Amino acid sequence: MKDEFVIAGVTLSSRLLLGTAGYPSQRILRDAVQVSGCEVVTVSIRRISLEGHGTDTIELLSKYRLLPNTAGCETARDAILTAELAREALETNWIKLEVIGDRETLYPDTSELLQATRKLVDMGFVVLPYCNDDPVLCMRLADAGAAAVMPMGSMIGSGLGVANPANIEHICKRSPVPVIVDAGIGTASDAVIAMELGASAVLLNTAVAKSDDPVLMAGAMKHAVQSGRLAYRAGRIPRRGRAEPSSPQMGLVGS
Amino acid sequence: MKIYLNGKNTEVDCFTIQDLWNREQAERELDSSRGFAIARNGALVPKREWSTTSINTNDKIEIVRAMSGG
Repeated sequence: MKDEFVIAGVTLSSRLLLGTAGYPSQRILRDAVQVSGCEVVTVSIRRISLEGHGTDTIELLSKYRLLPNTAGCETARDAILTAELAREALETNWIKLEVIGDRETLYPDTSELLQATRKLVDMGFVVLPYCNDDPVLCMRLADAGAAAVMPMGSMIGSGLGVANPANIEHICKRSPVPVIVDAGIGTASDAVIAMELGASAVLLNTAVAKSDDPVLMAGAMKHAVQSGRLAYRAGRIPRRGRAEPSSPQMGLVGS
Repeated sequence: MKIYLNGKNTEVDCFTIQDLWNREQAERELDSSRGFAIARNGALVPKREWSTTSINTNDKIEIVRAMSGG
């Protein structure tokens, strides 16, 4: 049976989306993205430095589908302008929408996020909002026309994994659009859990970029996402508070 | 002419956004404008309008590029 992952009518080959920030070198970034098997990579939009010229990450990633983000924006207005700049720069109408309400936790500002989602959908964008693990907010974002919702596993860069699995499971069960668990993944087992809870995909960055061996971890994440998806489809057994022998109870030697 | 380029007071002798881009492109030895975009006074200037969009004194110009991100 085919198990396709589709966003806004586009079938994606991998359920892992990878961020491209914070790798030890451009070479390691390139190798990690390749080993991860991902098709979509996120990028940011920033002012050019008037002093230094920087390296051309975009050229390095030219064979992947680029998903620009609005990371760091704190108002709907700034996020909308950043999305417009991204669309012009990269000729894509896909946008990972982030509107941050608090620099300490990097939690989204939910009212600005909803407002920006509505406006960007009207402007023809495919909007993928990074949001709280809140089932009501996720429903509102889908109603507003988001192409997927991207609830946090836990705080960005925290590596705390899926902090509220019950919420993520609720969101996955009820969402009319794909659910991509974004942020907080610390290691492969966290990605497995997100997928086992029913997520359509996982988006992560720091867990790979800041591991001791990003290329090796990228491979681990590839397998984790695949394993978690297979386990979700296969259906786990119920948890029990007592043992249940797996071998037959008849014909025991000496009975 | 004095403008605010990426948040800094900058003296330029450019008449249009295209002039400004040509200067940046030459300095950075770029083949194309792929990955770059420009806003003037808080609004996107589409690439097709660069040559017809003039720059005025005290304009706030932002030149951005796509780079690594999460």
